Amino acid sequence: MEEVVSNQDKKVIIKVEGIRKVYNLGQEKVIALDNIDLDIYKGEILCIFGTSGSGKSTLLNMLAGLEKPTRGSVMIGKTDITKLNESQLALFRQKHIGFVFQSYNLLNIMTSLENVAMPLMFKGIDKKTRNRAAKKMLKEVGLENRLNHKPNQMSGGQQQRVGIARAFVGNPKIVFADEPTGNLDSKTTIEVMELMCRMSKEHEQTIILVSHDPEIANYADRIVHLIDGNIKSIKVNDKNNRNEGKENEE
Amino acid sequence: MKIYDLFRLCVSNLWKRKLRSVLTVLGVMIGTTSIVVMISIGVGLENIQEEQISSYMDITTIQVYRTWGDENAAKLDEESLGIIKKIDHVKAATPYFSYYFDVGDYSNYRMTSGRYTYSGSVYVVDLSMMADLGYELADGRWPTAKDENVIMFNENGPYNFIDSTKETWSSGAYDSQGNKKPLPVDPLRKRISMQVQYNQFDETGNLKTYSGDIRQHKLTSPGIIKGDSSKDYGQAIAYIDYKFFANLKEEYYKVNGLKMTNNDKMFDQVYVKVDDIENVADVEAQIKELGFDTWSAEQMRGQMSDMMQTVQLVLGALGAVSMLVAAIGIANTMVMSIYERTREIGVMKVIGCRLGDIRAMFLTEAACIGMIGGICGLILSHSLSIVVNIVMSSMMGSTGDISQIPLWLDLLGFGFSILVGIISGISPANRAVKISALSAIRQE
Ligand SMILES: Nc1ncnc2c1ncn2[C@@H]1O[C@H](COP(=O)(O)OP(=O)(O)OP(=O)(O)O)[C@@H](O)[C@H]1O
Ligand SMILES: [Mg+2]
Repeated sequence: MEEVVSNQDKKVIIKVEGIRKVYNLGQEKVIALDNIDLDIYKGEILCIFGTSGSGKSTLLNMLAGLEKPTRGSVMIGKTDITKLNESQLALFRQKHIGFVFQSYNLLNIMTSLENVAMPLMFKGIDKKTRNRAAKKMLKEVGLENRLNHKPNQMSGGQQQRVGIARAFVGNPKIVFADEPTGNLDSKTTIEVMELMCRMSKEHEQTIILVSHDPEIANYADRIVHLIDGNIKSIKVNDKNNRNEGKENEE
Repeated sequence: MKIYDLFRLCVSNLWKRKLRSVLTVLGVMIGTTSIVVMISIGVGLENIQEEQISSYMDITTIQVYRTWGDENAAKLDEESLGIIKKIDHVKAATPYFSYYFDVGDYSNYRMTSGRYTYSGSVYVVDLSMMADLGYELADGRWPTAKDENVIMFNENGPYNFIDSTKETWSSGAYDSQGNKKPLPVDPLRKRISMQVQYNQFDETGNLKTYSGDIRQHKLTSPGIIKGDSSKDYGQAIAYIDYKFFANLKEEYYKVNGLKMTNNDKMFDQVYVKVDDIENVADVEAQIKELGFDTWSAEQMRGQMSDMMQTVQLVLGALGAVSMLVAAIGIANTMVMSIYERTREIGVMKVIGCRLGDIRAMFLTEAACIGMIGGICGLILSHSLSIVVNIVMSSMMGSTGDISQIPLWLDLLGFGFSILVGIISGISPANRAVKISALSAIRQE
């Protein structure tokens, strides 16, 4: 697999080598990921694209340290996260990772402000400081007048914007998003995607995005096409002409 | 994660599932109440019993006996008295033995005041120790070092003075109508004296006549000692100072031409007063080590309090059964809540919650249920205790509170309920820690 020249001067933030994931369902073996090698660069928006069952979520979970591969390594910075134990992974996620869920996953007993402040609370930051940071984030996602709303008092789009604010509030190096717009209509999808791209560019954050929708994939700098647990192609998206990126077939 | 946040999260989670939380708390409340009320009855019974014992005997006093007939036995004399006084927690120690004075020829000593002669018990003691021994004054003052030949009566003591021409023994302090009679002799105002008797008989059993003079000792009586049913069997008594009495005894031997042996110089008995009931057994053991026989109410009390402790234990165990039910309730509530919050726990793990904080969250919730249940249980216990005491005292008359909740029991109940909460929470909390972060992503 050749790399495009323009990417060579970029810094690799995640290096995936020889990842394989096999699920054992009794007698039957499901090969979710076959053999994946992938470099992800600092500050880029990467989309993992493919049909349902192609292994997108599985790959994302491996990258985020939510699940261990059957073999292979995932280097984030200098750390091989496949070697960390549960407790070390928790600390690693706390320090470096943000996550946006398809179904928002906000805590219903809390207001949007408290939800956004939660990652900072886990870091042990005092209430005043973290609420200030959370307020700022909510303002950035355009929800400054929904601070004290509970999730069930907001629309899906609003909830997802709270979710994005929560993912970015700790200023993580990498933000993961698994079908972040899967439950939203097309207009809201555009709003949410543009919001995520803007936020990541502002803070030079890396976003790794999962989608089966080419429209969404087009927001990314690079698109990794998965088929049956293997990378079929990595397409670099031209900033000026998003719909006609180059293809890099294997 | 900060402790403050842990508590806030805990409260809002418990509040979210109000009904279930309240029911679980109720279980702990009943459990705590059962234990506390049961033990409070044990405590009450023990205290009532102790009050009863101490109403008829002084429970902080140890009696020390002289060993008779063994030449090598430890000697109960001034020297060993000094050693005993130096034992830790000994408040006072005094020689303590009684004589019977009467009007007949056989009495070795005779105490008189005008036409009255004393016919009753005389206790030989160290009068300077009386206040420390727990005796109180009814009138007058305690003797000082300047007072010589001191005798002190308790309130009914002077009624032992009889007019020997009219009566042969004292008829007591009360007349046939039950009214207090006037004192035959007022020790604070009347002159009282004492002398030894010559009582040697010839072969035919007749009293020999004594040629010499017998000295009359003028006695000082500075005060009257308060009567006390727990001391000296509540008798009418005169107390005489042991040093003065030792001189009298010597004089008696001289007048009667008898030879005084070392044995005759020893004390028959010594009373030791201990500062606190808790130390009685310890002091008693140390005195026994010196080689003396002893007796104290502690031996009796010890057996009784062993028995009462068993009663308390049995009552407490009955209460503990309901606490066990409460513990199962807490564990069940926690497991249900964790089951319902599986996704939430997964989300928290994904967005950066440490494993220790997850555990702490659920332990806090369990401990909180325990604590609230414990506080409610203590409030209920105190209310029940009041009701039980009112009911029991109206049924059996006032014998003291049958249910008593001392501070230690409050603290025990409080601490125990929290402990039960935490213990019941351990396994559910571990279960929560093991929940995979992936639960946040899986669609149910
Ligand atoms: N926990 C699991 N146990 C067994 N098989 C699994 C498990 N998770 C995923 N798989 C299987 O692995 C393969 C890849 O699943 P994955 O969830 O990664 O697909 P996906 O590309 O995210 O699909 P979708 O677009 O529908 O979300 C599928 O065949 C799936 O059935
Ligand atoms: Mg998926």
